[in-house]
Formats: sequence, C-alpha cells, structure tokens
Amino acid sequence: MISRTISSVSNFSDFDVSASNELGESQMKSCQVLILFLCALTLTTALVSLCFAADAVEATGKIDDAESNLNSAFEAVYQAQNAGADIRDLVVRLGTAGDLLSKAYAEFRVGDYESAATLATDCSHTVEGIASEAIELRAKTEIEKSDRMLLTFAGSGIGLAFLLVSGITGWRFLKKRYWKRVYEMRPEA
Amino acid sequence: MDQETAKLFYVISCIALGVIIFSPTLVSVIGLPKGESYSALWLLDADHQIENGTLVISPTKLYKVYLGVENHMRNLEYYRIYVKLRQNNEALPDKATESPSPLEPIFEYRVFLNDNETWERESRFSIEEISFSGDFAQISGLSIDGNYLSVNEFVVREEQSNDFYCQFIYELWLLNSTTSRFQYHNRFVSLWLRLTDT
Repeated sequence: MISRTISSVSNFSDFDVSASNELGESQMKSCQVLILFLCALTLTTALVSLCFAADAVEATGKIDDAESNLNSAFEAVYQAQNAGADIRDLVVRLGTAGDLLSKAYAEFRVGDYESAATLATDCSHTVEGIASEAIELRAKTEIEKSDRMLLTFAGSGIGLAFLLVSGITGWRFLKKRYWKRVYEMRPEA
Repeated sequence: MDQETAKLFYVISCIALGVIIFSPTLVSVIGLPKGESYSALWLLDADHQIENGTLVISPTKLYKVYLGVENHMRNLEYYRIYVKLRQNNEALPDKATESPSPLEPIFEYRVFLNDNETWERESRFSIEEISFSGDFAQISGLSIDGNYLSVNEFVVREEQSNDFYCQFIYELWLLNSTTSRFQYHNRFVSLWLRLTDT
C-alpha cells in the first residue's frame, strides 16, 4: 500500500513535472510570440520612422537644391541686367520659381514632405535654363553694347574732327570776310 | 565787337558744340550718380485702402489684404517677405538696431523686382483651427493664399479690452549679392487681428 502510495505519489509527481513542463513550454511559446511581436513592432516603427525620415531628408535635399538653383539663376540674371540686357521674361520666370519654392517650404512646415519635394523639383525645373539664357543674353548684350560704344566713339570722333575742321575753315572764312569788309570800308584816297 | 572778342566767342561756341557732340561718349564712360536707393513695403486692406487698425477675425472666414513691394534700389533685387505671427508680449522687429523679430516665419513670399518695378499681391488668409479656453485661445492652423499652415500659438486674453489679440508681421528681407545671404531690410508692416469665437 505504501509502495502503491509512493508509486501514485511518484505518478502524481510525474504528472506534475509533465504539467509544469507543458506550462513552461506554452509560456515559452507565449514569450517567443511576445518577443517576436515586440521585435516586429520595433522594426516596423523603426522602418516607418526611417521611411518618413528619408522623406524629410529627401524633401530637404530637394528644397536645398531648388534654393541653390534659384540663387544661381538670380545671380546670372543680375549680371545680365548689369550688362544692360532685357531680362523681363527671365524675372517673370524667377518669380514663378520663387512662388513654387515658397509653397514647398509651406508644405514642408506642415510635414507634407512629398508635396514639398514635388514643388521643389518643379521650382528647379522652372529655373532650368534661366542661368544659361541669362549668360547668353549677357554676352549678346555686351557685344551689342561694345558695338554701340564703338559707334558712339566713332560718331563723336568724326563729329569732333568735323567741328575742328569746319571751325578752323569757318574762322578763316569769317576772318577773310571781316578783313574784306574792313578794306571795303577804307576811305578811298 | 573787336576781333579778339569775336575770336573768343567763336572758340567758346566751338567748345560748347564739341561738348554736345562728345556728350553721348561722356555719358557712356562716366557713371552718373544713381541717387538714393530704397525699397517700399505696404499693406492695404480689402478695399485697397491703408489699413488703419484691427481686423476682427472669425474662425474659418476668409480675409483679404494687399501686400506690396516697390524697388528703387537701382538694380534687380531678390526679396523675401516673411510672415510671422506674434502676440502682444513677443518681440517686434527693432528699427534702431535693424534686427528682425526673433519669431519663426510661418510663410514667405519671394519677389524678384527690377528697378522701379512694383509687386502687389492679394493675400487671403483665414484662421482654420482655433480653440478658446478661459483666458486662452490656441491657434493650431491657419491658411494663407490657400496653403494650410500648422502653427501653435497661444493667445492670452487682454485684460483691458477683454479680447484676444494677435498680430501678423510682414518683414522685408533682401538678398545681399556680395555675401549671397538674405539680410533683414529694416522694413516691416503689421496687421492686428482681434479673435472672436463667433
């Protein structure tokens, strides 16, 4: 009886051990699932934030590019204007690009990085070619200006030379006429 | 008139004529003084009149002002107009030290102007999101020219008038072509807004 009791106890303890093992396994599984879930959650969060960060970084990069392109275009147009070129059309395009960049900044401030990047790209496209056109216009105007300058110098030179010659000739003529009159006015002997 | 006087008169006339003939060349060689250079900035109300006070603002209602810049800098200029939102206790731009308001801009306009040219724009704005709580009002969103802007501005009720006031500041900045950096041009205009919950 004692041995039966012992055996039943031992059976019971076997049952207890196996039960505790099953419980441990299910806990382990739960833990594993939980850890996996936490890892997935962390990874997802990291990836999502990374995606958004990439968007913000991308938008910042595009805005910086647009800003730099706009400044370069303005500098070129400024130089063309200093050379005396007609830059009205280019200024209108600069204004359009400036509006797009302002909107890009506004979208960036509210966190719409995609729109910000698109607007910044549009701004870069709008200013595309302005700098080269301004440089071309400047070169053309400088040639025209130097031609005009040459013409002005030549005109002034010819004018001055003509004035000098006609001045001397005129003076001689007037002098001759004056003396002729004086001789005519001389009382006859 | 004796001969010497006539000669002098003739020479002077020739010299005067010479100067007239040579003047186009002189003008292209000698740079004439350009005069005073300045820029003008203005803000007009919806009737295109000088804004004389305060706009009473209701949430989500659209308001209109005219913002303008005139360039007399004798050159092509690149301007930025920063729009800032402030309340009474926050700093305004300082004319004496030529320093701008330290507040962050909520919106900006970029303007390219030739000499003697004018830019004017109809600016429409509305307070999109505002909440009133006791002596505080919180503006969370507003719209300028169709652009939604997220802000976080707490406005304290004024004790004397028992109203909520905030102010739009429009600061004029100019690109310094030497340093390629924008500098505050020591010009600003402002518009007071009286906020109501109706």
